[in-house]
Amino acid sequence: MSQIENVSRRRFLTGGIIAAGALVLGGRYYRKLSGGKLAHDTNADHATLHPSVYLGIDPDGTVWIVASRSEMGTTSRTTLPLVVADELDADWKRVKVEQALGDSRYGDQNTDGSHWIRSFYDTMRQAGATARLMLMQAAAKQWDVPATECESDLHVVVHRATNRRAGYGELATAAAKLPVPKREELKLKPKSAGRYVGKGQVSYDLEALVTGKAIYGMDAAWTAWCMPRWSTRPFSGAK
Amino acid sequence: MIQLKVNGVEQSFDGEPEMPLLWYLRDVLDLTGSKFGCGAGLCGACTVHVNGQATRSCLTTMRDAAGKEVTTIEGLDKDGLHPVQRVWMEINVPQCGYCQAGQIMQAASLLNSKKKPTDQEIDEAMAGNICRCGTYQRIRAAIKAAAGEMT
Repeated sequence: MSQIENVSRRRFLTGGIIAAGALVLGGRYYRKLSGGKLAHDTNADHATLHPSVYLGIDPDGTVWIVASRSEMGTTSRTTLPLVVADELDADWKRVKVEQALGDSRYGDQNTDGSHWIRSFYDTMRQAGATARLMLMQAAAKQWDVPATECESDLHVVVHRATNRRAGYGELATAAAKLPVPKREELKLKPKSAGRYVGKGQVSYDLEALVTGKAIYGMDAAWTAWCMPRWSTRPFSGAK
Repeated sequence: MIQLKVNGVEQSFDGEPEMPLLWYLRDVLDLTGSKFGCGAGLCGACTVHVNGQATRSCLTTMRDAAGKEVTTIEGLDKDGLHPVQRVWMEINVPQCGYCQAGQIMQAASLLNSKKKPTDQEIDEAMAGNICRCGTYQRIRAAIKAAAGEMT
């Protein structure tokens, strides 16, 4: 090699950020171009109980949580959904995290500035608390007891006085018929009651990361897309 | 026509013989687990096995790979449970994960040739694999744990 160019860390990172950002923006424009047809709806959108754009619960007990930001290597794709799961009292093993594409309904999706926990912590908690309250209300209605006497435990609602319990999946359909509670009605769990946050959970993508299955910006490919790029040799040394 | 085996499957390639193996793996075979980092053999993200040896696929041409057996992270174990991958999960080694396919392939190659590497041997073997997240301590711990598991 005749010349070694010093690529600074900052320049190297910029390339990665642009690649990841392109994914998010790409989804946005795809949606516009396809005439508003929601080709990139999430499974959460189609779940039985769907009180927030960030989550959905199916009758089989699957909890879909939407990671609305790009994963940039700080495990935001795990941490933010974990906050939702904690507030929902969901069993993390029954949570499926899905990646959102660019869409204004998620609010700010810029993945920069190291602020997404600060900016979205409360939003994530509210999403989880909303679903939890609706599940408790549904159970209370079913059992004909005051909702205030119901509490959540891992993926179930319990009524201790009568020793009754019902799984989140079983309650999803009934809960979906209730009005979505207002923010003021939500009662957030005290931090000490959390199961996951601050307890050293591993990345949701751990297995994908060690088997080469994780998809990074550079790995994404759309066969039907025209990808603009500058004209250059396909690789160094090619004619 | 270049013949080679990738993850146990016979492949033939009639393109430019100077094309880097990494390009072929990622763009032609869609095996995107091996990463492009520097394209100059400086970072180790593209490490695969060529005839069992850890090799930088960004600097290996298709001509060099002719007749060889190439193994990528996707083919290291059919269930993704090679001892190195298993301990990598147990010890929770990766953070962002971008360099980890290369790290794992390098570590697996080291353990094939040295059953019980010392700290110094680990550091020497892994010196060409750079991790921007700084997971080096966990990598070293994982290699030691894997050494115990590989019999």
